[in-house]
Amino acid sequence: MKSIGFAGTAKNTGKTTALTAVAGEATRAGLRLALTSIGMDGEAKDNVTGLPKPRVYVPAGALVATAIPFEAGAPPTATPAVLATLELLSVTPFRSPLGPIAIYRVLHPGLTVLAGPLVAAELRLVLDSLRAEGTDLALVDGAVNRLAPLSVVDQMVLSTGAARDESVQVILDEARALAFLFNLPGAEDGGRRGGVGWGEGAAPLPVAELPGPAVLTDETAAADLAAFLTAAPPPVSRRRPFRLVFPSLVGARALRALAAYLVESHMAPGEMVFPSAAALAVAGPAPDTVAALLRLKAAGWRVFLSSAVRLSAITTSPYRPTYDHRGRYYLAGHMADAEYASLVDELGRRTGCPVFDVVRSGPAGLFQRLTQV
Amino acid sequence: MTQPYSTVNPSYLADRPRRVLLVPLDPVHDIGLKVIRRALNAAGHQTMLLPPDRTLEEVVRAASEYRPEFTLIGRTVGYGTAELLGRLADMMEAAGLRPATKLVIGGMAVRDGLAAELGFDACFGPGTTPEMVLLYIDGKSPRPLSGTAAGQAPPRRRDLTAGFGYQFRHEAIGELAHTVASQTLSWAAGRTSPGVERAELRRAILDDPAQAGRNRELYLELCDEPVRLAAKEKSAPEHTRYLTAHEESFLSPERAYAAPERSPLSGPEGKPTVFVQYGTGCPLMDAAHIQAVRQWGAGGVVHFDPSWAARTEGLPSGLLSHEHDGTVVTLENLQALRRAAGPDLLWQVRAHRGLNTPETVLLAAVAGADLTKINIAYGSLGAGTEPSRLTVDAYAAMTYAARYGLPFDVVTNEELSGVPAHKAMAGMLATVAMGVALGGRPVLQPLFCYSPEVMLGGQMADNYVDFNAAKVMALRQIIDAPIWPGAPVGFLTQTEDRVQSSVSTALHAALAACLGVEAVTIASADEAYSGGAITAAARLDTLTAAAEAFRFFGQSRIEPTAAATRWASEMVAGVEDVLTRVARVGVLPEAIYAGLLGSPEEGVYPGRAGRGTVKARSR
Repeated sequence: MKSIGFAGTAKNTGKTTALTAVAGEATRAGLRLALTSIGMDGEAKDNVTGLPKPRVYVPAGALVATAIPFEAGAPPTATPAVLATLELLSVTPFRSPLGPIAIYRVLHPGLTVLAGPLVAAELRLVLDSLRAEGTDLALVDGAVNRLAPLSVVDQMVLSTGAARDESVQVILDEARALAFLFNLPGAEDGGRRGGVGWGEGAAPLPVAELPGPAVLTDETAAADLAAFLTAAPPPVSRRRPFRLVFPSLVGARALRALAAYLVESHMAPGEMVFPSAAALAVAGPAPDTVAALLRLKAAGWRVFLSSAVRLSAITTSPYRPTYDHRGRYYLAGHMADAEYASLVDELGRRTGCPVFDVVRSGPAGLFQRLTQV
Repeated sequence: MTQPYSTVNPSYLADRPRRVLLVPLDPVHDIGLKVIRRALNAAGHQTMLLPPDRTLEEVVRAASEYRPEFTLIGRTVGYGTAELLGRLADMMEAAGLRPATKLVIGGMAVRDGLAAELGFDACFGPGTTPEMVLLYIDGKSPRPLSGTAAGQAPPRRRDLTAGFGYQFRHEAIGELAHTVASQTLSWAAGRTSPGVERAELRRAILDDPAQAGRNRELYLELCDEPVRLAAKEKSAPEHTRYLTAHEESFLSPERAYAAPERSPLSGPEGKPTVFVQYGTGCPLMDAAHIQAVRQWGAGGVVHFDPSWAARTEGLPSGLLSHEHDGTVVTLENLQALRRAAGPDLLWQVRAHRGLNTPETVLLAAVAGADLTKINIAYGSLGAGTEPSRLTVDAYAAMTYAARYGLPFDVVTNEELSGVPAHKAMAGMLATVAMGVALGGRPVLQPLFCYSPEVMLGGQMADNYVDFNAAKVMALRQIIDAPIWPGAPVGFLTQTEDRVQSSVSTALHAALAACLGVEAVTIASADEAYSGGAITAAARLDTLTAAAEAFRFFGQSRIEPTAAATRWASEMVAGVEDVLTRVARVGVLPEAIYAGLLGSPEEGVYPGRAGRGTVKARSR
């Protein structure tokens, strides 16, 4: 089974649209499909803006892991005729605020609501259950800008676009940084074993793992690391390369402080292992995190991820809700065509990742890309 | 986030102390979390409240140091803050703090769906009280609940008659009522009717199933053709059908009842208990209505039966659904609805008019009803039951009610037909005196309504308070008995506008609360104008409105004008005058025929159903 997560940089950037596009193509390709979400998707209206949201249509035979297969108070269009008919297969031990999460099989195709596991540990076990049911392809819808729960999928699709920020530069900088983080190499053994090291012909390096879950902060990161290294037993030493393993979150400012300390103290460059791209991406502006990592790399440090999820594609959308302060309501809107075309071009160029707009160009290209990777 | 007026039971203690981090992720506001923190500390939990306006990094760092089992975030949600909160959930997870700490969000704009989207385990939206948070922290409920009842034993059903001695405070009226009661009871004791005999047969069938066959045959001989035919052919009577097995499954003990998620509505000191009426025709739908009103704070429900059943001799059997309003009284239907009412809701089955009142009380008692409804005067007026028949039947019904410990209300709905309040009260008090003489525990149910009497007389030209208050004041001057305005309150004040209807109902309920009565029955917002099925939403309208009205008035009081005192005195005098004339006539049926408890000029006529069916009891 292959699992694909659909993450976004903000609400309304097109995660669910991309997921449903891929689901449709997977159905046409005859794949046994499963769908879930780390948030809530498929409801008629956005929980914050009240604007219409893309619905989730599930084909017959697909599996759905959700706490709420149908939205309470669904609008008149969601009559029973267009709602999916579901058969309960099992109830997982996990809960969402909407209730216990269960796995259903779709008997008759139609609309459903996805509200699945909230955290990575639970998502991993739900994916295991879906695999055991014979699923070929599991699609996991993201939520808002959340990344951490998706660290257990095989591939990632990142959605960004006009809803992220009014500034094209902000959108581009963030996407480039995220692509950098998600494309950091993985450590096959999780990075903790040491011994043979990483990279062909690399010498084994001693391992220094910070106790977790420690949260390094900008004020104390350098001092904490210095104290840790001083107390670390041999063969970890400032004079020879070692592998530094971070078990937890490292904030962008803390990483900048660490980079400064490590580079300016002329320590022998070794290797760093971070838990996941998400752990790097969520603790501050991703471009700032990447800037710190680039400084380390420039000084000779190599950076790995304990758990790497490949970013396979980026999707974009010109959709941009705006808030009317006088009327106190949200209005649907779109980025201007020329500006949007420029954004799409630049995204591809700066991230090195294929970019798709499944609404304007159709889903085939994205699906083909995901099945080829 | 929280309602600051909510109070926590000071004796509440946590099952075990938990570490709770409270985070006002907001530039300024932290009052909601402060209220919750106070409750958590009082319950024995360990808490840490961060100052407002911390960065996400600071919050995560605090959590990593404090290692809370619960992290409560307070935040107003708008566009852009969703990303902020989603990022916090991500950081907590990436920092390795999840799922060891439950992440909880509260705020005015927060709903379950949004919480799920943001990656939070639970949410507390508008209307949250500290009790809800305490219960959640203690794992008493898998999700936040509104109210104190969740996770605890459902509240006990109140005895509305507790503490009342039924002494007549007005001696003259007491003597007159006793006179009428004793004369009427003596008259009724020597008579019987098919309704009385069917009840006796039914009791024999229930007491001795081995002999049920013969008694069932005798029972059917006393029934009208539709009931007899249905029993013979084992088919459902006209306009009814049996529930399917699938439908029945929803009335099983496991599925018919869900524990209340909030405390029942009431004013100060736990009074009044709020009743609502159901009777969709289908027990399944009734059960759904009961579930809904329980969750919105009803303390009791009233079973409404179809009008045709009141004119038909005999009761059918089985789980029956009726295609029109009113749910058929059968033992099976009643037992299913008792399950739906559960251990917490007071449940009343009406037996105040019709040809089956003794048997209805009997079945209600067997099914586990808490209350019934009996009134000879109202039941005999306005297209009701023939007065002699109803009096004989009511005698038996009150006897069953006393034997099985069922208090019964005595309502004055004949006011809606045009009977003046004092005359209706006189009929009520005569019935009450009969009930007390038989060992029963009656409840006075004056009507809070915009009746024809006040429409013509102008007593409500200025306000709805004085005349309704006068009724309660008058009854309290006369007798020490529980009062339960109904049924429902606000009759003829409500319009098809649901807001107006809800407000009017709520204000009448608030008046009842301010008068310190034991219970009140309220209508749905669409009850008078539904033109068909009453909707659940309209039921919840008035329950919500009543809750707000109770909250608004609290322990303060509505101050009636001097007119209320004057009208109360006039009512007392009027009751004495009417009962004097009734006592002269002798027994209630004759008084009703004489128009003493409501005349044709006032718009009422003695009922005809069951005419000629009363006979002398064989010795």
